[in-house]
Amino acid sequence: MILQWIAFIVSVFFALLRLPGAVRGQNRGMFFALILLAASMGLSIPAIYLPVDSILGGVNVANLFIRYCLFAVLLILGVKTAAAFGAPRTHRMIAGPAGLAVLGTASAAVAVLFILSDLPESSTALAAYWDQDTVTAYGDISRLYQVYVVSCLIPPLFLCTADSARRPDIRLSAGLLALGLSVVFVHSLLILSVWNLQLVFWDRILPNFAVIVISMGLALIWNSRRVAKTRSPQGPLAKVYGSR
Amino acid sequence: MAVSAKAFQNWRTMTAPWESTADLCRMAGIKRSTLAQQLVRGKVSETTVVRVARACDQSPVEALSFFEEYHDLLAGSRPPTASELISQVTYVCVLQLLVARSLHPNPSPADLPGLGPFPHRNSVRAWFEAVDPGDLRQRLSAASGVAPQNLSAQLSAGRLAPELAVQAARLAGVSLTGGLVATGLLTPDECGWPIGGRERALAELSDADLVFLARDRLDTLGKMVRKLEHDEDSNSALLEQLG
Repeated sequence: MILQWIAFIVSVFFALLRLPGAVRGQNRGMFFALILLAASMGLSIPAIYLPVDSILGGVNVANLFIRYCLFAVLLILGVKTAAAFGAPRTHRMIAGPAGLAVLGTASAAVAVLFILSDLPESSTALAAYWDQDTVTAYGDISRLYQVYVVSCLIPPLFLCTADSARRPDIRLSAGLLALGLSVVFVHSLLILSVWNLQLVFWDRILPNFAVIVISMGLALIWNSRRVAKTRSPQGPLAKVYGSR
Repeated sequence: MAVSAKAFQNWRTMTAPWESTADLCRMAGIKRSTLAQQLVRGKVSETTVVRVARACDQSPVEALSFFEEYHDLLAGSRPPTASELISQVTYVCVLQLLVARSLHPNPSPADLPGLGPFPHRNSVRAWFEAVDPGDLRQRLSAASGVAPQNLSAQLSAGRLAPELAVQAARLAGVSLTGGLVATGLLTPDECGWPIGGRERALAELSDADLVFLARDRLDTLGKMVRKLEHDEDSNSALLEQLG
């Protein structure tokens, strides 16, 4: 429970750090992704979920909102990360025809399954309805999209982390992102209902831990960019010649 | 890549029998904890040997020759070749000389630019390329068991382990200490590099030789700068996307 709050506060904090930049028009996509991530983290806490859902009619529409938030986060993060780490194939797999088809199918299926399910009362994470087949399928499909995007992103991130020619601060950030996304990957894969595993304890730890690590990795990159702007650039020739 | 602690202790009792370890470290300017750690691990770095030798007024070349890995160092130490000397001149100084010769048809020594200090930023790779008969990387890799890409990485970073530098000189048939000068482990004086040797080697180049030397240097420089620019572009693209 406390970890959920920490993850929520961390994601809100790092999202707000980017607010001044976003107002100036700098990387708004990333800002929206972090805001949506913070929103979905908040909505996984009952103290926030229950009042919000009651405003929305008390029929768990807020949970559907979380799903679409996460889809948007994955899409933005996926596209940006693939472009950042120079992985055009990953970019095509996420935002190309195949990736968009997967996203469209997942979005439609989630909506249909949500309508088919019988969810009369607010329940955080739909915990009260896990015995319904449509609800388990609903959860699995959103997790499958997570697994799909994350598995596309992990290889280029690990390659960058292992590349000793890269700058250390970038390698550290890439390493944090790789770690966080790997945790998401493993967790999403494990709780697919196919395996029928009960991970009560890990269910709380892993996703929140992943969100914290990913937020920190992104914040480090944000900081590197901020620092790079204030530092006067040294031309490549001067760098090569600079005597020791 | 270091000498064994046991051999170091033997050498030390011969060189400085009456000095305590603390005194020795103070004289040589090394931390006591550093030396202690190296002794515990059983490997003492060449830098330590050289510093202790200097502190005891012993020639570092002689000192290193005491150790099995470098037994032929003193015997194999000769004055550097002209191309080794020229490798230790930066491209800026080469270009300055080119300009000076172009502007002064009969330059007096006063017209010629002074050469900067060495080793310089690119010394190690320049030395390696100067002594390389063509297949030195492959032969050095085969002889030492160090992978070729690892050698290239060391050279690009301006480093080369002392053992590899000496082994490369053995394979190339040049003075064994040349590489140690280029890596900065030993000073030019300690290895018998003549004073003003670089200036004389450059003076012996014909104008055409000098132009082609400058061209080769610019060629290498162009590749390095291109790579650096490419790296910086990709880094700033990354920061733009995620920052």
